[in-house]
Amino acid sequence: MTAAAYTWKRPSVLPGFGLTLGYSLVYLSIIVLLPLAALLLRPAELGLDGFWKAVTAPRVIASLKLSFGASAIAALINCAFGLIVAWVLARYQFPLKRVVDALVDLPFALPTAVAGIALTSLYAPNGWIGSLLAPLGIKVAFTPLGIVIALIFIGLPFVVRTVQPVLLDLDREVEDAAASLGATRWQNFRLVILPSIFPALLTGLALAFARAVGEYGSVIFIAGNMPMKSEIAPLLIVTKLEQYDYAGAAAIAVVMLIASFLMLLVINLLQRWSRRHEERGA
Amino acid sequence: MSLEAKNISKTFNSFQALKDVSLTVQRGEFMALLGPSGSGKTTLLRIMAGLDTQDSGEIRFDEEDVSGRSLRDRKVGFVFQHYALFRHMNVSENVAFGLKVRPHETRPSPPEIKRRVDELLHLVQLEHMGQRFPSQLSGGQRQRVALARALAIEPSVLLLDEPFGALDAKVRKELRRWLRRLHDEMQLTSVFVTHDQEEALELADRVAVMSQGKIEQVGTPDDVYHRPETAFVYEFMGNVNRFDCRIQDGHARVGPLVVAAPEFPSARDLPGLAYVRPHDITLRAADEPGLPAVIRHVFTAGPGIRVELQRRDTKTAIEADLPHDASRQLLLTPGTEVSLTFSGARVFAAG
Amino acid sequence: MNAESAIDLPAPVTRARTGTPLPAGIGTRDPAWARRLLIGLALAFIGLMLVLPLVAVFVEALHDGVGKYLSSIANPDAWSAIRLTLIVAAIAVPLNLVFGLCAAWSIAKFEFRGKSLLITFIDLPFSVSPVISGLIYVLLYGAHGWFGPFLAEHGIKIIFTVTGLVLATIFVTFPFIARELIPLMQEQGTEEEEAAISLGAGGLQTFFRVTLPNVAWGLLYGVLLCNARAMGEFGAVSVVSGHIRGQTNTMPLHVEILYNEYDFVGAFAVASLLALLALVTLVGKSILEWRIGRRLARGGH
Repeated sequence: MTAAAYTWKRPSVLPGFGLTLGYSLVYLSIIVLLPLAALLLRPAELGLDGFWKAVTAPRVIASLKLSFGASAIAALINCAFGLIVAWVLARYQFPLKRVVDALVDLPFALPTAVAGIALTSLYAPNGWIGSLLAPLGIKVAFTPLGIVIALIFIGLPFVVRTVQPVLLDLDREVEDAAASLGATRWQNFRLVILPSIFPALLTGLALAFARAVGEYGSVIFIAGNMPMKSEIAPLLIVTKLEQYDYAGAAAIAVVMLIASFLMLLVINLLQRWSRRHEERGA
Repeated sequence: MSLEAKNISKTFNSFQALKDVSLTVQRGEFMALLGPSGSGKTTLLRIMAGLDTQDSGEIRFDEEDVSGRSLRDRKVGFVFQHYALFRHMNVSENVAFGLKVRPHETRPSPPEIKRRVDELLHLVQLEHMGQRFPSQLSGGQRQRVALARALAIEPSVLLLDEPFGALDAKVRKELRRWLRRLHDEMQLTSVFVTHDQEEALELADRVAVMSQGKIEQVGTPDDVYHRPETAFVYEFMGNVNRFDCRIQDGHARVGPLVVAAPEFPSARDLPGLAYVRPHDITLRAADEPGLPAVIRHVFTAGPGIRVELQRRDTKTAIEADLPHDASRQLLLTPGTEVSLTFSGARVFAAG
Repeated sequence: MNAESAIDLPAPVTRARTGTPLPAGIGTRDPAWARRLLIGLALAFIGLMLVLPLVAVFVEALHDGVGKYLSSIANPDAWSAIRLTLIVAAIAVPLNLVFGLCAAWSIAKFEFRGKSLLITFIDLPFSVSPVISGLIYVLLYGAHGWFGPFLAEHGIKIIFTVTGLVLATIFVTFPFIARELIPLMQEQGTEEEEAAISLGAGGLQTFFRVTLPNVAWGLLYGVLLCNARAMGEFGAVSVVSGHIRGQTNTMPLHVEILYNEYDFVGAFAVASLLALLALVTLVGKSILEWRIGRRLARGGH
């Protein structure tokens, strides 16, 4: 370690380091870093004042509020159901379990536009589900509720896939220990199991939230896209772009980007925490 | 409280782990379940605790059948092989757990819980470790936390699954003595599982030796070591040489040697196996009467000398343990021809 | 300083691990009513949120019969969208594959400073909204972008062309293969490669004969996920495409156009092809996970 601290690369007999790292860096710069830099610098032409005005316009604020609010609600719902699905997959045997397990990844594999039109057709007032809810006075499609439904759809696998492996790795003997000490099954879950999977659950929540905030394809069909009411922030970016308001679009994008970097930071910290958590005790 | 397992059988899938096992542990007794892995000892312990259910048979606490009682209601202190400490709780919280999860009516008050935890930490000599987390403890300390946690619920019996299995040799020895002293003070009916015969002999009042889902012998350490009832126990309790023999009228013949076989007074040319511990073998000069053998290898083994020999007639290997001054009377170099006699042997029917 | 300090996105990284639960004591058993309730809730949720939309795609596509369905797919615009989607994926996936191999080789087989920062950068596209992924290229190459005027002078168009679609697709699928290969190659260590070199093998020989066979299934897994996303991406390509029918319309964009024109059968017919692609991806993914899991189980402890 001390030797490595003084040189930037530890010597190795394997060839190709310069070439592969060089190519990776060039490709990364062209595809990712340069365009992102362009985005971050773009709002500069508005000036600080102009930037502030652009991102505090009522329509922008409303869209950001909607994007973040709906994402938070969807992530919380996913947290609850994702935990149940992960628990059932990790602990129980039942028919078609492998199929259900594979299906959990559907939102990763199904193109968002397809999900969007499918959900819309289901929840539209004349759709399979929408027609059942309409007599109750519940409107889903073309309202913020529809947005939440779409965001639940795309966020589900994140919670399941972060919690499931942790559940499988849990030391079952610890649950036996708690039971032998007199804990009821519910006490066992609340006091022993939940604290062990809590970091993973939070990570899954954060990942689902981060994904939902930026989601576009599955939402725009079901949202109705009414300015101030059901217009999400990514859609507003597209609208501004179509009006050739590049700087305005970039300003909203920068705000969202900063938010997602903060989320990234939080997720990173959470994962470090949960790793420490896992190392504790043996 | 006395503890009795009565005709317990248990099958996992198609593997029969326990075959009609019965065992009684007296009040205040420290009992060892000794056997190789797969012998069913842990399964028996877990069924006593209520962690597993038997297919048939009864578990009785003080004559009362508790088979139908749940794990929670049996009030059994169970110490797991890998301790199973709650890693997100510190030592005090771990020990307090069993008290805190009691229903409201029987739950002690918080100051009472604290007092009890302090008392238990004092008992296991971890007074100043209450705020530590399991990851910050050594193996031996974790073991003692697990014990304190099990004792906190004031169990009527204490069951320990391979309590020293995960510890290094030195800590294991210390902890063993400490646990024995603790048991002598508390007089709590205890059963522990081990595969280490030395541990069982040193610690237990009585030892139950298990093999292939059955109990081979139950007895004091002295009994099972010096008076094994079955060939398995003989082999399991330490190094042993095995000789084919023929049994006739209460005697068995190993080559030219004759050993007593009082268990078979009227046998007629019955095939048998004679078991001889290495320290029961004596080496003599080749011209003296005995079983002819050749020395193959000699090395120091602890306080004595171990000699590896080969029988002249059947070419099978024999081990002998000699006191370290034996080389003064005899030339112990490889290739030397010697004659063997047995100072103790036990004969079992073959098959 | 290793890949672990980067965030683990579950999408391409964490493999589902199904299998029989460990045999455990009575203390880990849930009461039967709770088990039934939870399985019921999970199945109801999966059924309502995942299965029903999937079924709806096919039902809506066949709403007016098989004949209408087939003629919707045979439509020339639909065909050109399918062709374009395949072309875009055929360019984007190999480029990301080459990058993934290079990045994984340098990161997994060598120790150098700034490694975790590099991994964080590789992960960046996962945390960027698809719309922003498209936007950045418009800001760079669009008519009012940094290089826009320069490109216009030389008659080069990127935005509203296939090039733009490819760029945006590469961006959103950028981390998939690298992300899959890096941990796998780190796990393998460098001993085998060092042995090969010491036995006189060249660098490329070592890579193709020693490294690649060890990570082949993981590589395939990454390619599968990368391809699924490349063919299905909507937000990013929507921003750069200009929606020129028959020219810059990929399948997901074509679905949107048809849907907005109230040609529901047409939209769902094309969507059903994408849904089939998703199902094939899921099946492939399960098979690969099974293979990888088995291999790990054999090689591991």
